[in-house]
Amino acid sequence: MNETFNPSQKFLEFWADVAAKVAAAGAAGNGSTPPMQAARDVRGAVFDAMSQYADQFMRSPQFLEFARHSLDGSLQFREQANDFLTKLRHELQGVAKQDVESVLAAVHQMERRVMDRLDAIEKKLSGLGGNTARTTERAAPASARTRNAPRNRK
Amino acid sequence: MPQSNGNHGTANVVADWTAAWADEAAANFSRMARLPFLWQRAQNVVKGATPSEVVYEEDRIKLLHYMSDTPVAYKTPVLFVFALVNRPYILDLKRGRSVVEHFVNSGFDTYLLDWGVPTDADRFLTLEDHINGYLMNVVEHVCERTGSSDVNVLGYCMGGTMSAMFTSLHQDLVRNLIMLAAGIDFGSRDGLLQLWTDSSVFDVDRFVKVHGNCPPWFLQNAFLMLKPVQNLIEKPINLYEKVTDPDFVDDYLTMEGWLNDNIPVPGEVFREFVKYLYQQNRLAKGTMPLGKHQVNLKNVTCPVLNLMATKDDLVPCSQSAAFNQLVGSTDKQTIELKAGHIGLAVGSRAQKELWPQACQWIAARSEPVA
Repeated sequence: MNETFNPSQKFLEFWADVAAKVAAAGAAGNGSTPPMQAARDVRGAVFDAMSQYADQFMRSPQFLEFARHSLDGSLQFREQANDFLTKLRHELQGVAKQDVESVLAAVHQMERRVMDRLDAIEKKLSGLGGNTARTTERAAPASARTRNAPRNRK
Repeated sequence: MPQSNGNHGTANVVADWTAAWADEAAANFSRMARLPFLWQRAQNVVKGATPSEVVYEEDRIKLLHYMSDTPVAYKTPVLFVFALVNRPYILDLKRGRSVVEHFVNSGFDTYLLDWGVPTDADRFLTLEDHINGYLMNVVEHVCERTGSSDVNVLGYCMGGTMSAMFTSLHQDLVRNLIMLAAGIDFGSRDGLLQLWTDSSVFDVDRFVKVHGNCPPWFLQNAFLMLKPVQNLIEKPINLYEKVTDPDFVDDYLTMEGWLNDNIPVPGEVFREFVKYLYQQNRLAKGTMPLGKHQVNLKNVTCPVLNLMATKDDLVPCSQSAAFNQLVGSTDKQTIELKAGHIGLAVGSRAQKELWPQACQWIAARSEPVA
């Protein structure tokens, strides 16, 4: 990360770098270089310089600060929109996304408890010298299984 | 009176440039005539090259089995595990640009795990649900179906990270492990993503609370901004200048079709990946939690092949290279290729040099069919 990023200094450095790269691209060509290829080489040099400075800028504290504020702002807006829509749906005695997520979280939690209990039972059975089948650490989430067929193997 | 050499040389240069500009103007007419047909061509892009069948389904995931006339030469099957952020057909993009094709033609019984497209119902699924749940079930099914006691695993990008975690917990199920541009050690600050996901910049808990699943447009734009000049300026110019080349246009549209085919990432997976890996670097430190377990890469003892791209902006080499030092394997090899993150799989150099080498590596460590 750049410790300091002086915009005006970087601006001057950028154009100086572009000029240097363009000159180098021009000098690299010889008399037999087709004109359009020479023009493309110069263009490529400009884009290289732009890319380099874009990368430096996106590592700078100024950009990171801007990114943080921008993301915080959009998340705040989205939070307010979510809260408004949730209240609206509740006022209309409907179901909001938050309610569905609460149910999903509860189902997932329940599934974990069931799977932990099954794991414990399997370990006890193995300890009793029962089934020698491979021990499975954890099966797929039961809440997400298809209703018609527990597992659709072909 | 004869002209001096200087005036004659200048006249030649002016004549050359005038002729070149005239040619370029004519070429531009030809290019512009092709542009209206691009949209239609984009709709006709074929995804996937190698014939396949779905042999296992569970919730949203599918296990694809690739079919070929080449007889299976090795007992141990190969399972491709891709990331959760994109569609996996990048590994079988088109004929001549397919990683799957190399393995199928080398005689491997080849499978690919398609994680599917998460819905809001998958919001609370964790990394453990994917690794010890879905991936475990898929590996067990492949073993059951092929009669093999273990599989060869090839993990790409985030799929590689997940494959490494799976192998460390279930080493007996993995015969050989190939890591393809997989992030393991996020301690350095080489990549822009590591800076952008820093806890001082990105509040992942708040993000997941607000959005639930990570929306596809968020990651797509983040990846675009890693190389804004190349992605937003150079690429369209390149397309315009080569629009009369049908092979180039086909490659371009196929690749762009995949690049824009992003999918949501389950919220809890996104939270764990950003927090435990990018922000806290727990996998490299040996403190990565996976449910009740703690992942220790030292438990990986199978042969390991670590493939890295030296021009990878998404997963810099510094993130992947540490893997070989962290595992307990004695048979470990690294191959670096001068390519980008996607070029490492589908680029021309990778297709000609890297994948034949990788197939030979895995063949030397796989049991042939009697």
